[in-house]
Amino acid sequence: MIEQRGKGYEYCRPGSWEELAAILCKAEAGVMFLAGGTDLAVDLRTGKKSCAHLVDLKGLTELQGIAETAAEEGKKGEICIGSLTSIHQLEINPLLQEKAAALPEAACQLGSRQVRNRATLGGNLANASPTADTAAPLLVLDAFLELWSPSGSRHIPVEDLWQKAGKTFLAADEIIRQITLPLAPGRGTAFMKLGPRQAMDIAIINAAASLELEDGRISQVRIALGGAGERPLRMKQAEAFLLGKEATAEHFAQAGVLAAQESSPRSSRRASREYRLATIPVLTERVLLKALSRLS
Amino acid sequence: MALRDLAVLGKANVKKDAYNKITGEAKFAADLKFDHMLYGGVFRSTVPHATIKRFDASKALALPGVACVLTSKDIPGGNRIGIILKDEPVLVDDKIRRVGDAIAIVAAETQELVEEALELMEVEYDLLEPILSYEDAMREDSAKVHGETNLHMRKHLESGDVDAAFAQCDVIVEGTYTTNMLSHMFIEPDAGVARIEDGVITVYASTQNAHFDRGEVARTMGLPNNKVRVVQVTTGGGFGGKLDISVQCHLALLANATGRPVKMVRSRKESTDVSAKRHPMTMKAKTGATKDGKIQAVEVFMTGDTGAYASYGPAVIVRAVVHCMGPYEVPNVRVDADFVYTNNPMCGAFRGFGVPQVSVCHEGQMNALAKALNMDPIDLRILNAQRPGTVLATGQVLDEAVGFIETLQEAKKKAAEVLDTCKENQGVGVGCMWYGVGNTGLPNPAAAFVEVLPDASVNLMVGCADIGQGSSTVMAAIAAEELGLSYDDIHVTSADTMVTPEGGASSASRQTFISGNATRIACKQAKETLAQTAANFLNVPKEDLIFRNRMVYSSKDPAIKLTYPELMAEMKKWGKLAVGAGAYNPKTTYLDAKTMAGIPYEIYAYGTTIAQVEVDTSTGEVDVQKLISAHDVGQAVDREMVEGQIEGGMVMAQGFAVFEKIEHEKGKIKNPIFSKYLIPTAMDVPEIYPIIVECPGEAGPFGAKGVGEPALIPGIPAITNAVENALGQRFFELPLMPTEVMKKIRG
Repeated sequence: MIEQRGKGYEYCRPGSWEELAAILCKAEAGVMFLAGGTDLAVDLRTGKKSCAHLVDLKGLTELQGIAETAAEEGKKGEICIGSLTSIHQLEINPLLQEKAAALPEAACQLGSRQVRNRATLGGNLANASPTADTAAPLLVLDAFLELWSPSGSRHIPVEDLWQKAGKTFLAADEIIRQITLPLAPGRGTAFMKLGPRQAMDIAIINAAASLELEDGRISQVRIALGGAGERPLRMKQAEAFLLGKEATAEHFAQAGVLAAQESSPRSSRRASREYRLATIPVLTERVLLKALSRLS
Repeated sequence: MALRDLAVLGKANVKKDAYNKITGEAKFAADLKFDHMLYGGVFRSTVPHATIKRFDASKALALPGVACVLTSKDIPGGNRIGIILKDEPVLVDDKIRRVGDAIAIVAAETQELVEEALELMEVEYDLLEPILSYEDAMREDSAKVHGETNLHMRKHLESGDVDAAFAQCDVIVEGTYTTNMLSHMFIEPDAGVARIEDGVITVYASTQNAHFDRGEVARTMGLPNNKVRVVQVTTGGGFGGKLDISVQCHLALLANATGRPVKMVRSRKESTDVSAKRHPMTMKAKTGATKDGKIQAVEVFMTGDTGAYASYGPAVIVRAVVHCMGPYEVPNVRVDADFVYTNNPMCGAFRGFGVPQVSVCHEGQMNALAKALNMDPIDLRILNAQRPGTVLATGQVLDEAVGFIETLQEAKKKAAEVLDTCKENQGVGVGCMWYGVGNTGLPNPAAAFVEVLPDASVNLMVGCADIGQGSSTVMAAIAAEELGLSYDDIHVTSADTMVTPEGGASSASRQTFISGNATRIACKQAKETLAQTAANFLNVPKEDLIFRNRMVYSSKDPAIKLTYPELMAEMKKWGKLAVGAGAYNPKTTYLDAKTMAGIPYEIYAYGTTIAQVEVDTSTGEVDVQKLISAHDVGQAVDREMVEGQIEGGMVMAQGFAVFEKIEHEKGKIKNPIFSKYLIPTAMDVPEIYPIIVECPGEAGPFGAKGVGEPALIPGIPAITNAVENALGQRFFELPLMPTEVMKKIRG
């Protein structure tokens, strides 16, 4: 275990769960967890954030990796992703590309290559940005999270992670250990983001969709948006509208209008509330069309 | 001019700085290390306008490892710097005029200690009314940033009878155009190291003008010019943003106070916060033409905000006024311009000195005029284009080197070849520019030293700073051409004030023309001795000799010849040295104070861009798809470098037109970093078709002009006009962000 003085905080890097538990039990308050550090390291340096204890999770090597569990009798297959898996690993993973396309599609549009090499999936989620690029894909992939703290583990749907911008429901001593994606062989998924620049840009809004058809009608649909509210959101009215209908551009456009109705975006330096409301239907329709095109 | 038969120019050579940069061997200022080196930092104001009630550095000084803290009282010489007007304090004495003004400087053993020391310093302000807009500044009762008035400069240009001409026009178009404050975002933040050796203060700096820096440091230190040495180290771009003093004077003060080398490297934020910005400008224009499209009159009123200090502001206003009617024959012109001081970020030089801003105006007007007349935009421009013999609004008569019409024709030809058939929401736009090379109506000389060595290799010493644009490559090619040697024979030492003569600023697209001419003159001088020696040896008149491809031979009989090594052996035998010193100052005149009549520039560069864009009308996103850009460069010294300049310029134009804007509030920049100030990425860059047009004339070295700034300018209005044409709407404010475009689409 490495220990050293940082700017106003104690830095430590536990190498095992026992060490981590010991640190967390001892620390009274002001714990922050360091994953890739692409946001946190900058914020600590500029003083935007501060903490008493900076706990680096990169010593826990088992938090990295992507693995598939095959479907068994009575149990669907799933893909398990360690929370410290880098964004770049998501981007290039053939398993994800084949079975959960929206996630690598989002991953390859996050930040720069250098950022993607360091940033992690768990970090992107725990950072709780309303436009986190991996959030909308995980929402439509129906992901659930395994959380860990010294007092034990629990599982939550990814939807239940975020409170509002920059704030999760994680306990002070709790981390995301694993992200699990249940597999659904017949679905098509997609991700799109809207921002003025084609790369290295934070989305004004982003969107993901997952679609399944049965006899030409929509049998399963999930739509998620980032930038449409205080946290990444599922668009449940739009989904309910589409369920059972034919997968047509017209229906998708109507779903987009519903999505705008159930959104409550903010005005920020990047875009006004009005601009977001005007483009949510467009992006919703387009991401649904893209998901449809991915259905074999 | 006769057909040019050149041995070196017009081809492509490996840039002189390429190898070191590619291998990583190039040393930037931040890479320099000296024994016992300290680190320096600046304590800056956080308010735009105030006096200092109390400043206390005692806690910082008590920190072990802090070597010194200096304020204005510790300056041995003068405490005012500035490129044109000396109006900026090295360290604040009378009052604070902007967020980021330097209050104190500190040197300490490590960078971390510097930061800690800065946090321990305390300041109390007495706040003054901040002046944050043109309107604020011009109010009679407003607080004054400097002296008695906030009017920094007022200019008036008039020729012909404008009112009478408008009365005769069949068509009049009007528009008020606004461009925003922009940041250069050069890739290397400002940095430097100063040290003292043998009574000389040496400052190694990332800079565009070492010789200017020398003068400012000398005055600050109260030293003669020859006790200060400024060495321009490998510099990661500038675009005008490294013409002002950044770290140089602060470093000299700290090195002098501590007797130790001191290094300063600005963070991206600090660099963007305090380096000069592009002037935001508002231009109200009126253009009148006959029904067959001949422009009769142009009237422009422009206002600009130079921020807290003048920097290069006076050059921007003068150049903007001279250029704002565009590259057209306009018999009646009236321009009025007001630039004001405010407590906003300082504005100064930025690629184009105001011409990019006015190009948005005059090309916006041309686009509107073409529509009003129902004329083809290229035909309209050709009809009105400046050409040899055109009389400018300043009274200057253009010589033969005017290639504007050729750029229009070449761009049009390429457009027919590569542009797509227009779909709905796609648009094609034309943008043009002219650019006077060198400073406006002012002397701006440059010099060069050359020595041909015994083995026929050459040492060339020029003051001109190569900041990546390739001036050293250009000077080497010009020297090789003139001396009849090869490009690889020439070694260039640049921008070291103890070694090289004055070169002036690497700005105003002037170095190829001015340092290039100086280089050529120096080489001609060295060649005199060489030619006399060769003539004696070959027994032919020296006027008959041709120097080319490392040979000297008679134009009458090429068999009468000797090789360069043979010539140098002959020089040695007779005790002759082949040295030369050249200086060149463009043939201009000062402009009349009342009417601005005169000769502002010796030569002009021209350019035409045709842009194809597609607008996503559901999101307001502008997709810049293709840019064709034709430039009259006189003579391309190095074809690949000219094409590189055009491509880089077009990318910057795209940024100007669709992404970039410095957001500031109460004098404070809100987006000083790359994640908030968006410039185009490789993913955004369109297909670019650079076209080189050569109308050489006699003024430049082998006819060369300049392309550094011209490469940027016409792309901006071309993109804007393409968006206008795609949507059938006029746009008066840049950038064309999706949010703004959507507002227009939705009405």
